[in-house]
Amino acid sequence: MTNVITAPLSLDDATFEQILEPLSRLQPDDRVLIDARHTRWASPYGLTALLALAQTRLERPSLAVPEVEETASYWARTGFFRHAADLYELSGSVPRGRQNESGVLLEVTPVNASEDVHTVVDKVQQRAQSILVNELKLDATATMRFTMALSETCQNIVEHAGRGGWVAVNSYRWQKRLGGRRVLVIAVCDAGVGFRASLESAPGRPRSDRWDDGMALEEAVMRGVSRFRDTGRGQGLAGVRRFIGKWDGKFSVRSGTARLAIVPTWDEDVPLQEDLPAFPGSQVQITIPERVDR
Amino acid sequence: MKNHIDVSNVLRCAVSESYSNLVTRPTGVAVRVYIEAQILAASDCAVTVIDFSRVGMMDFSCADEIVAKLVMQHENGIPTFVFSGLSESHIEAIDVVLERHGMSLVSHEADSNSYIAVTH
Repeated sequence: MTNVITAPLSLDDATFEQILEPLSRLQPDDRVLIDARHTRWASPYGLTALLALAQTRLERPSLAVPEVEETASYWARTGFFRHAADLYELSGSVPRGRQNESGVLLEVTPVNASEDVHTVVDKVQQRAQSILVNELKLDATATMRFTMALSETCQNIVEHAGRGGWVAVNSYRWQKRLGGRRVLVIAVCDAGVGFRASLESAPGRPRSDRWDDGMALEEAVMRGVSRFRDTGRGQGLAGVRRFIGKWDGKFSVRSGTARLAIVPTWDEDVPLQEDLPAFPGSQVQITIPERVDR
Repeated sequence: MKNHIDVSNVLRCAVSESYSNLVTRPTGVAVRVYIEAQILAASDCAVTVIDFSRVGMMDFSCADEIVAKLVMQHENGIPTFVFSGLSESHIEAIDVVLERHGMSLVSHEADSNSYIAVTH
């Protein structure tokens, strides 16, 4: 029997939970069809998380691609279908995307090794300057900090996930939120071991009464704790958190059954969500809004 | 006598001809090991200038591997390290990692873009 999970109309970090909720009730070898025929839009998080989802299945899952041509065409231009074809049985009309004309800041890109992080940083650095300065109205130094944040979040996969993951970056204009301001969104998703198991692998880690995915996220993101004993380790995500604050941006990390968010004043998210549907690995999203002079 | 080390050259020799950014920990380790070899080859130099002027971006991992570890491995102050050609974002990354090790960057000479790392 194939279990059909209907993807929401708009697929982003919040609505992806609607896919994970029914998925979490299934066994890893159950047959799954993700029905995205009616999906009209997907954020970088939605696309990278879909790929990570497929990596968690023992039985190759199926994906019914969006029926709306504009949506399918955009997914193709992001490079999503090129990777999805290796992970999913695709059904429906899959358009061919011309990546050199994609118009996205960074197409969906696999991150498996350190060399991939170099590739991602080089690609984005060339393209990010005009978006950050001209569209988001950030100062020129933001490009370096932005690529640094991208590098650190991608390295998180290479150093801790235990399997490859995905990164995508794009900018777009929010229709309803933030008064129609432009935002730049980085999504880095993997289906690896996740923060809790990574920290548990640290030798001699002291046990505490409360130890769960939420606490593991707090330790890693807020306090810079790492599985490595070297005091120089664990600075990546904690450093990213500082940058995001300077830009009035939002930073969220989901791992296991918890999600931690650094919430700016313009957003109504909660700092820590627990008891979410279990999902392997870690899923990071960084949102940088257009600067508005007050 | 000063030993001048161009980090951009080191990056190209030690890791890849095509790289211009100091990102990832393995890259940082490779660059530091190469620099250590250059220091050893010029052991009569009391001062080693580590020049970042042709480096694009440097992340926390590389700042830790190259700057913090280099200084910590030469705690006796021999040679003295002078970090030059640092951009604002380089300094930001280095400050974060040095703070974790109880150190900070201070200007080496007034009105120059050269810094040394000192213990708090």
